[in-house]
Amino acid sequence: MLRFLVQRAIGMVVTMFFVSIMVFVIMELPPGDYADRYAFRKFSGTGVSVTETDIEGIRKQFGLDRPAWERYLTWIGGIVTRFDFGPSFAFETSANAVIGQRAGLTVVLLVGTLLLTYLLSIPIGIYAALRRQSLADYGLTVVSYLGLAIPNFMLALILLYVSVRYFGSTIGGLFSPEFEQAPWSWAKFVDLLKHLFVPAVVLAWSATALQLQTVRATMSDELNKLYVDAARARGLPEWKVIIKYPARLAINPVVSTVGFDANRIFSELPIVALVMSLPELGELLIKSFLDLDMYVAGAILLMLTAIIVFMNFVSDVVLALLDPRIKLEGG
Amino acid sequence: MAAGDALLLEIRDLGVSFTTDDGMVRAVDGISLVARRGCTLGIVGESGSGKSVATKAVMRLLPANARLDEGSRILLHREEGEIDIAALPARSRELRRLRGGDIGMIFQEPMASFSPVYTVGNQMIEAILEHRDHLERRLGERFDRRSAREHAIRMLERVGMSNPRLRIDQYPHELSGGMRQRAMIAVALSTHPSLLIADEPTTALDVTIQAQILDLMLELQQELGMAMLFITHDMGVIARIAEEMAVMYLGRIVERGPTREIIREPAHPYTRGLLAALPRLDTARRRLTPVPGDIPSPLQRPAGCPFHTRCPRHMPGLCDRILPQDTDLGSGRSVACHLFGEAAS
Repeated sequence: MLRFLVQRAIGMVVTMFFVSIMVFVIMELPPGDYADRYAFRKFSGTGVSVTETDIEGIRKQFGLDRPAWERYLTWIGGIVTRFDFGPSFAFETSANAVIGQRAGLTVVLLVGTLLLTYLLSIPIGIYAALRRQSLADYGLTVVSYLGLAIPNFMLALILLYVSVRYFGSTIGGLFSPEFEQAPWSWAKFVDLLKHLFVPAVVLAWSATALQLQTVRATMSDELNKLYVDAARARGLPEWKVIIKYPARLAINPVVSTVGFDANRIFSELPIVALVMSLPELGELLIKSFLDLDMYVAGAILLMLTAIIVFMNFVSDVVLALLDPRIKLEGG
Repeated sequence: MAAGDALLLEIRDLGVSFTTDDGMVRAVDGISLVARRGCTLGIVGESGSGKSVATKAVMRLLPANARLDEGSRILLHREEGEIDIAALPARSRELRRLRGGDIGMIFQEPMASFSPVYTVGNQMIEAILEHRDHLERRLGERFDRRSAREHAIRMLERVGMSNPRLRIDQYPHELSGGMRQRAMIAVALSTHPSLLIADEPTTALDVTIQAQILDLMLELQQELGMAMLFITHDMGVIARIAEEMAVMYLGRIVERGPTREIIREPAHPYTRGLLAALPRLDTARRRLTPVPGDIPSPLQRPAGCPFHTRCPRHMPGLCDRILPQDTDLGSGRSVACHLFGEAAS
């Protein structure tokens, strides 16, 4: 097991190395650099004429004149040694400071959404498989496909409207107005959870729809396996037969796609965040690319991929723990 | 060992129908069988003859779309008194006590009958602990987790597993096919059932392993004095293991009696066909004579005798109209065929 963990961990580091190079290439891809943008911002409309030499000076000031490999090494060196993701040009501070709170919120939202997805899809999928072709099964399928069919922003808008119109609560943003400036307290935390719940539901709905069908299909397959009858023939109570035997195997495909789900949620997050005005990373990523604020964009990309790579690592380990047929050596 | 002739299991007028998308399928059409303590009853038939469904009915392992006939009786004569398995509620405690307690079952595919994610020992000890009360009555010992493990190791050793202390913590995929079937037998017998149902236990195995497993089962049967209900499509296996046999065709029993007599002198044309289809070493050069045609779909059961569509001695006007009733041939034999009924004489 230890060897397996070490192997997978090394694999993770190697992956991240290549990802960092790719991210850096992406950062370099947009035409122009921040020096042009800075000069344009600072001096356009002021009547000051900007020469090529002035821009060259700004470029030097930001360190953008050095060759790419040198900038990559400085950048990655800072991340690895000091967890410093470089400067943010647009905000005139460090990338860390810009990302800071948003990163926390994104991770909380991601983990919350994943938990909600699994808490809903696994038991419901198992139940639907046990009651195949019943009214409950069809009902659940319809509801879950609704989540898949309705675009996320639409769902977010509907939930936003419903909660404001009928429950009189504001679920846009992170906090209710009265807690906006308040110091951290239990009440403020609960308020935060309330605000995160709706976006989590919006994001979890479509993921749940997919996973629910996966669980239902796997569970239906497993229920027909001979070992289920064999367990019944040993005289186990029905609930124990179901939970210990087919249900245990029905969650395997779910576990193996945790990374995939995380990726999906990340891709859908910006739109939902935009509608619900949540300060999260996806929106910042788009903005930073528009502003050519490269280090912020790079930091976000790197963090998102790191989280997905880590999720895959976790799902590998959990799967190996769940299924003894997976060989821990090699592979 | 109890008296040789004591009744253990009595199946009376068992009928099983399945509701499917294509209509009602009559899988078992009113069969009656008797299994005696310490004896083996073999049930032979092709796939689709209803032999598996009938035995699954005894364990009440039929899927939700199956329905037993109103008048079906599955009587188990226990020391504590008789019980009608067909009448037990599906999730009752009594039924669970019988499954794996009084009645053990082993299946055709030893790989598929273990869950791949638990060790052999885990699935074995679970059964032993589930039937603690039953085992206490049988063996006078009440098992806890640790002694159940010891009991499981003893059982694995008894069925001929090498190194049972190691095997008990192995996963099913780490065992060979023969070893898995031995383990399955050990699981079924670890609760000392009075009846063992074996659903084609040797079909998926190599011939050499098959012989070993059959010998083992015979040996254990003697030792534990249990009755066996042995299902197979292989006449050779039946000849080896069963004192009595019943031949099933399309949900009905067409012939029954002592195995030796039936094999020496089969009465029903279908039984003859089955025996003629057996490969024999002394006539290796001759072509085998299979039973012609296929078993009809149970959705379209032929009228009259179910076998008349393939029967070489089919009597038009009789066999395709009237269902033959059991005719007593003496010495415990009976056959359901117009050749032997009053209509023929």
